[in-house]
Amino acid sequence: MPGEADRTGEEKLIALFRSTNEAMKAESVLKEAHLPITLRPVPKHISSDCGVCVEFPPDVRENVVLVLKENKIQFFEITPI
Amino acid sequence: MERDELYSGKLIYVDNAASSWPKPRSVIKAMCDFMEKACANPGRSGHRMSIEASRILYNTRNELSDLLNVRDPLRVVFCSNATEALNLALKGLITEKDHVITTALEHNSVMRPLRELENSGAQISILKCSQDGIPQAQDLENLIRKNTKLVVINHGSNVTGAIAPLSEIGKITRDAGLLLLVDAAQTAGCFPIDFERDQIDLLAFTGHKSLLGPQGIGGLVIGERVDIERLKPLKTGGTGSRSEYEHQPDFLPDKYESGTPNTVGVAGILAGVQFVKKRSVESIREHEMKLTGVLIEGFEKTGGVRVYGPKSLEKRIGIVSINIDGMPPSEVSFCLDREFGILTRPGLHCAPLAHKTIGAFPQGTVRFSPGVFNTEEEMTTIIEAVCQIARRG
Ligand SMILES: Cc1ncc(COP(=O)(O)O)c(C=O)c1O
Repeated sequence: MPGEADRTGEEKLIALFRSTNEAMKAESVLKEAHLPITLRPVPKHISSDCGVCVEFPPDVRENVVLVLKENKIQFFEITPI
Repeated sequence: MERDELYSGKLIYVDNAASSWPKPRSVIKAMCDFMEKACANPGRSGHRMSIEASRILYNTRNELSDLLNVRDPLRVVFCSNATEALNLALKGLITEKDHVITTALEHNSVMRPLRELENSGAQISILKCSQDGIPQAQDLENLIRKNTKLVVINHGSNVTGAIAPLSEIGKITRDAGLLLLVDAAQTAGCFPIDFERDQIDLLAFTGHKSLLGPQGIGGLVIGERVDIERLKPLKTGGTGSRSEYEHQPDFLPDKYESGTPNTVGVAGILAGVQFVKKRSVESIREHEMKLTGVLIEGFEKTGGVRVYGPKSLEKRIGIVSINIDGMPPSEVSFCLDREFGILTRPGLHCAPLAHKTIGAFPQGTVRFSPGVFNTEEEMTTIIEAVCQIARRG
């Protein structure tokens, strides 16, 4: 859930996509790979093409990128929130 | 169980090729649940209900991909029905310079867009069929020209029930470097389809027949060999993505999905596909072909009844077209409904050329199409009813 990152004080990263359809596919394949990700709205201060993004802790960044690439899902950038 | 609750009175519904009925309870429940609990706009907002609606769309693409063996779920584009999907593929792809090959068994949802394209300069050739309604794959090569772009084929005939030799046609088409568009309106959900193995490039499906979903939802699967830069969308508009740009997104599926989708319909297809997968396409086919076999055998023993289509059940789906000597199909169908509560479809079934091929033009046929919820007992009742009507005729 949004806000969780703030509560734990832990930094989180987000990956942005071109469309909600691609974000949905990302959620599905990342969950299948058992990665600790959450779908969430894109934070206000970040501009994005679509309203939702995928949030994850920094230590799984490499795995997230790998899985997205393997599944040919285009993502824009990975930024901290 | 399910069907007893849904059937009212003693109707025998054998018009599943037009629209399947009854629907699995789970389909109705999924649609009601969506309307009640998650009827937000998918892809337009980031809140949980909108995300849930988007998830329904994705899960459905995923289940359909699994059913049809499509590698990437985002290649499943939702349309309002097979007709829209076929229009998108044909009008999006074919220019006035192109040549298209199709068969004599096409539904008007292929034939009419093709005739329209022909009026603006495109060339059309028609692959002949045997009298029992099977397209002659061996003649396909001879029809190919320098500017041939596409082969369009009806996978399962809605008139004769004949199955087209898809893998043969797929191979010839691929070897010649052409694209293959398959109209799977009658086969998706009741006959095994393998998008990859059968070398299909575009496949149109509809939700309200053997996928056991509601009317008004279907789609087009767009294969990797189709250059989407050259496939024009039928309509452009809001997609929820790239909202700051005034140009249509150039990626799948958004390029072809403008406007708020029929998400409640998609929720229905999702439950329908899950029902089909749980029963398995193979066992549904086995059931429907057993019923079809009973019908054909019964009709063939009845004097004055002519049965159309292939003799072998293996070359068929669950559709049986007949005529009773001296009686117009509309009259037979009306008697069956009024006197026996048997619901069939008379006439041309939107495929005039197919009727010319089998020698049933312009009167058409009476079509029986048993589905997953029909029983053998019902088939016996149907045969007796047809016997009675034929004796009178
Ligand atoms: C072979 C075939 N193609 C296309 C269609 C069109 O399907 P829909 O009416 O759902 O667009 C049908 C059904 O009527 C059909 O039988």
